[in-house]
Amino acid sequence: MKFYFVFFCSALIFSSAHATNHPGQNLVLSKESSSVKSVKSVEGVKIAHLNHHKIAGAAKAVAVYISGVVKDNNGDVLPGVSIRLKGTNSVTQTNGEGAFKFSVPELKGILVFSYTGFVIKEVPITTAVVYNVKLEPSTNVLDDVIVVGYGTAARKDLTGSVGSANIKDMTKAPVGTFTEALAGRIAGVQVSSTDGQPGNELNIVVRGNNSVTQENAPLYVIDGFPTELASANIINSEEIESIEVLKDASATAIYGARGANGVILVTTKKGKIGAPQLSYDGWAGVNSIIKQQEVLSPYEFVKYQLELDPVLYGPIYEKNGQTLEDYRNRKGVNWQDEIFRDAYVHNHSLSLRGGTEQTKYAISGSLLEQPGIIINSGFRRYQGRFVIDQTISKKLKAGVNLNYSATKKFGTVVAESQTSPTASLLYSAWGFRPITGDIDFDDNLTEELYDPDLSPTADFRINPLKAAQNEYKPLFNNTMVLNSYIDYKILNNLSLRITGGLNKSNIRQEIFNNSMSRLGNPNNNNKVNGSINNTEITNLLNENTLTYNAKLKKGHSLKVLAGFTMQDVRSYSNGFTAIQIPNESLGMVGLAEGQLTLAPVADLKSGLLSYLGRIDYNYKSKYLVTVSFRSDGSSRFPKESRWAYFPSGAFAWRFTDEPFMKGLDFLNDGKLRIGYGHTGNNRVSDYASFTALRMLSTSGYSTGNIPGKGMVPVNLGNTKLKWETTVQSNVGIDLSFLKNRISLTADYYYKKTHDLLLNATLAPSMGFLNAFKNVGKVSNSGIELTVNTNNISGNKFSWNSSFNIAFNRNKVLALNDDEPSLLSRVTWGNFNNAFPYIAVPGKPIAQFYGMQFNGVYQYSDFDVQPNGSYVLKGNVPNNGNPRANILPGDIKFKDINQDGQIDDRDLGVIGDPNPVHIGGFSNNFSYGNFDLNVFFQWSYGNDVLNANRIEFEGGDPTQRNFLNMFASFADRWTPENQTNNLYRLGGQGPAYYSSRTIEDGSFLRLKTVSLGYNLPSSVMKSIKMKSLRFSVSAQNLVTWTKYSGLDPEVSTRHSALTPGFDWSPYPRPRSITIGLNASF
Amino acid sequence: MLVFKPINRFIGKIINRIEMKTKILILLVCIAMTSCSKLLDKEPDFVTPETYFNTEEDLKNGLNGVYNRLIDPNGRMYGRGLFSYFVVSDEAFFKSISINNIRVMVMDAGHLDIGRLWETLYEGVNRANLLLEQVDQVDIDKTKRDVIKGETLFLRGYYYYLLADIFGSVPLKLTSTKSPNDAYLPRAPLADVYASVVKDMQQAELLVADIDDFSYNERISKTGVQAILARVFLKMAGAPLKDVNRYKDALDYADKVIISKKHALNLNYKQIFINHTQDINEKRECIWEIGMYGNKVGNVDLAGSMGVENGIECPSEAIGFSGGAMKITAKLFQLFGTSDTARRNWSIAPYRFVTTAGNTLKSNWTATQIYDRNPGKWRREYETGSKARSFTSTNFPVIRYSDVLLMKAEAENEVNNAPTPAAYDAVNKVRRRAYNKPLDKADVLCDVPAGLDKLRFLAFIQDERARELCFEGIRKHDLIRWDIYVKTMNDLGTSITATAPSAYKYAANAGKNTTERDVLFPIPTTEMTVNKQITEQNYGW
Repeated sequence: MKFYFVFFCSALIFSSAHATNHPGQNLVLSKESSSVKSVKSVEGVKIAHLNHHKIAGAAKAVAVYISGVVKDNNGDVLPGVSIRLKGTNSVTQTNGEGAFKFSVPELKGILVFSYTGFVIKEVPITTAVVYNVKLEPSTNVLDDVIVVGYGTAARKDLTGSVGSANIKDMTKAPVGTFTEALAGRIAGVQVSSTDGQPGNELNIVVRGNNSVTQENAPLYVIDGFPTELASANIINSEEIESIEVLKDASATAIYGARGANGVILVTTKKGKIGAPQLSYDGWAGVNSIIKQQEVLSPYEFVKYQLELDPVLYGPIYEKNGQTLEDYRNRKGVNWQDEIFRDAYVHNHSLSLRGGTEQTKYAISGSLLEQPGIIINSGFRRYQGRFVIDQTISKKLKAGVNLNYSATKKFGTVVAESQTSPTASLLYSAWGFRPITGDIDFDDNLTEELYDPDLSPTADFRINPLKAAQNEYKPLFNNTMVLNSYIDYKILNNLSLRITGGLNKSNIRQEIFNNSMSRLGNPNNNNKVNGSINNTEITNLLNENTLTYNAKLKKGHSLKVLAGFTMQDVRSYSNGFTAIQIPNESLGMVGLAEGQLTLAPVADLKSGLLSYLGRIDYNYKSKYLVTVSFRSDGSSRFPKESRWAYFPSGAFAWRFTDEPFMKGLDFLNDGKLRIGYGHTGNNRVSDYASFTALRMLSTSGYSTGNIPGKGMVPVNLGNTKLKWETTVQSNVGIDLSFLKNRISLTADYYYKKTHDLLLNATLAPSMGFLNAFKNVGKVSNSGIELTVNTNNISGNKFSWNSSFNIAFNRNKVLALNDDEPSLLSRVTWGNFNNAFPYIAVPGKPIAQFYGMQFNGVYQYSDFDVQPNGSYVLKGNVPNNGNPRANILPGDIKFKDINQDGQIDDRDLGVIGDPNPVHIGGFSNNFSYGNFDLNVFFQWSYGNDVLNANRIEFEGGDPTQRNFLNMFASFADRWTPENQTNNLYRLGGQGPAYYSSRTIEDGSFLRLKTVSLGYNLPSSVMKSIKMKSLRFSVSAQNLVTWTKYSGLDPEVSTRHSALTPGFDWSPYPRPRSITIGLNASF
Repeated sequence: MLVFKPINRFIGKIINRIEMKTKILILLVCIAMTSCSKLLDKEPDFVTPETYFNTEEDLKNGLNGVYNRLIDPNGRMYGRGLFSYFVVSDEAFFKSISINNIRVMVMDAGHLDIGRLWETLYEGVNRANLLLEQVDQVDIDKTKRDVIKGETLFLRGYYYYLLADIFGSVPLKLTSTKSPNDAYLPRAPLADVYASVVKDMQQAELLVADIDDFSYNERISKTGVQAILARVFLKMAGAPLKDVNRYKDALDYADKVIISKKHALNLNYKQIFINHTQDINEKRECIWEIGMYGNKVGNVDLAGSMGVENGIECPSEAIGFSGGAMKITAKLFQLFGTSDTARRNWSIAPYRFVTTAGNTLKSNWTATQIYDRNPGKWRREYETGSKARSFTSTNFPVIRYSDVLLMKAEAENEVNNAPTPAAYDAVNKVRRRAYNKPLDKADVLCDVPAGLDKLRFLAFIQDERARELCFEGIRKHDLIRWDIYVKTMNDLGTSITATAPSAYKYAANAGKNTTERDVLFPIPTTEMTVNKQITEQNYGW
């Protein structure tokens, strides 16, 4: 922790050095402009003229003081407006009342007023000393100042590809975490969720997957703190000031070894100069299920059972003289009704922000309760933030930003990968039979843990209602993030910034499987069992940057950044598991009385040391050049290959500033950007270069009934490991037409990732299954387009739109040692021997892999034998089962290699989980005091593997007694219904994945609709409030899709290699909420 | 250089304008930059092979790790697979399994369990290689080191023996894997693999301890190595190598075990297996056992499925749960004839447990209920330890003395082209024990009929091995080395189809589906796709 010592030393030196500065030196504006002669208004600028002789006297003495008030077009004062004397570095700000006082050397030059969200205004200094200025709100995004790595930049001066989220629109979505609202907002940023489980972290991928086996999540930089372990759940959306996504290498290379997956910069709100402003934002509403999976009716179910095995099921369903027809009108149990519910969600956020020129503060807190639509599941968050920025002296500023968040995610993890498919909750909910043969018993079916007719040893299927009620599996996360900084102005244009940050997470996973749960019921070897696992993550950061910022003569402008940073991460975890717990009524406390089994302890440490630099040069904002460089050293790699260097360069040309473009009136602004750079990825386990020996509970050997410990190699280290590098080129164009009413940004990029940090498959004869190697190549290329239009802007009615679309093509160029393909399995059912995914060079990282479904064997495929049996014709291939076993109605696969038989040589690509394009379309309408936001999001051209249909359309290779099926199963092949779409009972063939259950997962979703009403300001004044808005919002209102499952946006076994798999997903809810935003 | 001049001047100007205090600060920052190299040196939270092995204890821990792969907690080795779904033969079938399963020969080279079996065996090989490279570096008493080294050599040989037996010709890797970039190996000729097995085992024979030095039979002893070598040679003499000269070696090694007088038959046949269920190490009859421990309750995970997978159906956990997954064939039942009933009724349970009104009791099968029966060698009702639902500490006997006697008889018959008196004597001892008769007294009821020629004697041995060693994971191996596996299975299929009650016709599927390819498992896809040195798949896969 030596560097922290230095950091604090540095801080001490600063404070002691400047304690002696004169705190009153800013108070030079003692003289009021008492001698105003006349006031006139020119173009919204009120200029007061002074008596000449007075000024002359003052000007010679020291300087001239000018003053004024800055307001917006509604006449409200604007605190914190920055005022600069053009061409110099003298700057001041308006105070809480919007007033400023400024010392200028003489009454000459131009004052530049700038304020985020408003058009920059230049006011020439005349003889006047009072300048009351009105700023117009900006409709032109080019004026925005946005956050980039280690600094800020005006959007018009950007050379790289940076996407900004429209926070105002995003916060209209009634969702718990900001990432949920981010989907579809920024071109090229793919936000997807595994399913709808509340509290799930989302998968964000910027411009396609680079890594094959490793994380493709971007680097999060939250208030300047870069972290790979970010949890979006700990952030309150209301506190977010801005979200920027750095996409191309020239923007991300400043984050070097961690920049390859893109960088998401989240900046939280700070205090602003002005009177304290108290705000409340809240919404409450109901989440409900959009769609239930249709299952067989009791009648169809009984029909199926009797068809399946009349000997077994006849005595059950036909007892007491009942016939199949008697089940026609029986109601049965709808298990989905039992476990799904309408969930009442609410979110409240309270903030107090304000400040003076010296001290700016922001205090806020929030509470989110988000019960899930499955009983006994949900998410909640308590969170608070405190931000203070203090000007200590003219040269010295310091600040602290502290966030504390306590979250709890609880309930059955519905999509969790279990050892048995039958242990998934929706398996029980869909598969538990709706009806018994005993009419009097049906009502009790929801009360019994086991199906009375089903051998409890057959599977984990237990009453889903009891299972959901009894599962206790909360995940607690208490995270504190502390960011502090000191800004020291060494010279007027040279400043040093030292930051220190601490991100500490305590994560506790508790599990208690009581005797009524799927994994703790009496049929389980472990009986009642449970576990606690604690993880403590300590992430320390120190960054030191020097910024030199100069406007040179003749329109040259230069900004130089240099710095070095240190980051140290430790993840320390421990826990234990207890089984056969005798007193389950004690709950978690009862673990102590059980049999302790596992007690894992791990301590993962990593360090990163970096040097960085960047030069931004521009000439009159017309020719812009950015060059950046970063060098990273990581403890994750062996000494020899520890350091890596990541350069980048970009050039931009604002061609509309060229004289020859002046004639084109319709084009207001046009800029061409070209960038190139290297970025890296270090997402590899902390000790991947070492071979580990461990003693495991499973690694010993027993002699004489005494278990001996065994020391065994558990992974194979690679002493040659190094960084994964992505080389990216980007060409972009920014255009703005028709008085900035239409603005357009288009980018083309090509990324090539080499030396992949691949968890490479090894030949098992090596004694290891995989190890990290720097092998393989992947490319991503694509086009992104963003169009913002101001369609109608009348006095009463206005309509703005924002549209974005992104096309990404992902391609594996090479795998491990010219490996022809990489096959991937997922754990879910009885299909452990088949691989649903393949990665092949020349194709995307993931494609669905399996058999081409070729319909169903019909009678015409067989020769009828004299004894009436059917024998497959010689020229008709089998389906992987022995020919003699094949019957009419069995599943049929395409014989790809045409060798007359189906085997693993006939497997091939059967679908593509990658979308052709993704995007979003946001519209804002306002009419008087009403505003309406309508947001669409889509994904086009991606396939989904609907594994639910495999299991529940009779595809399980093992016969499962009393298992209900999807309603579609009623249309199976029978001699009376010789369909070609679905095989007969028991005709599912060998356990191959097939194109039969690959579905088009394209969707268009009306994702957010929000209607708001702002109380008029006249009313506001009378009730002494600043603003009050009521709103009604809906999330996931309508989805247009051909997908037959619950939701096409699903990926329950998500990784780069295994996207778009659908098995037992937590259904995504529809939310309808009412909201209130008030500020005082 | 000229270009840099204005830049230098520019920088100089800036530096000159910086206050002294600030310069000190920048200096401090620079110091900090150079002093944080420690940040990048993180010690892992585990030990590594380069540093771990220093004491005898360390070597023993390493050796336990090598033995460990014989169990495999996921049940691919002697925990389950090697007496169950990997060794499907004519002695048993699997309840309710008729399609889409390795148990009825429906699988391909991508089969998960076959892949895992291969992986587990090579993990064993790698662990042995690693230990063999370290064992000489550690400074301990030579005899102690020799024992560890000998056992490790034996285990490497044994893993290769299993690989060769199950997969045929395989890559022969005799050094540990040190880097993911190590070169992959091609399949070595089968004869080379066996030569390596013999070499390792013969070297081990000279180093390992005597069985008398142990109070248990879970480590390999000198006679254990010899007994296994007899088995290896017998395999080499049979299919597919058919190196008939090895019959002599098999005979020699069987004789070595017999002459040592360290082993003998347990006069009570069923007690052999009761001992297993009661965690009693009886090292006279059982020369080498795999040491299972516990029942996956507690912090040791070394239990197997003996008595569960191959046990008597029983719903009660207090008695000892088993779903009765394996059921016996009528063929096996009938092999015992009418007089060998004691051994039959132990090997094949004449009852199961049924719960009625909360009471679980034995329920005998009727005389016609043959296919309903379960293997009965390891009966959970005899277990003395705490009983868990699905896992037991019951050891698996890899080689018993009766097997050595039967191997001797078979080798005598082959070497001399006819059964010798010694061959007769060896088989008769096994049979007399089964009939509870004195071992050295001729008895027409149980003795082998006199005057058999070579082929008929062999046929007798083949049946006798089925009777004596059923459910001990050896039948498929035997049928394959006698080169009669496919025919036997096909005949079984035909016979079950013709004679089994309708509810058990499906038991014929394994036999019906067996083809020539089933004498070897395929080289797993996981190996084939990565290891380009392997170009040829086994026949029929």
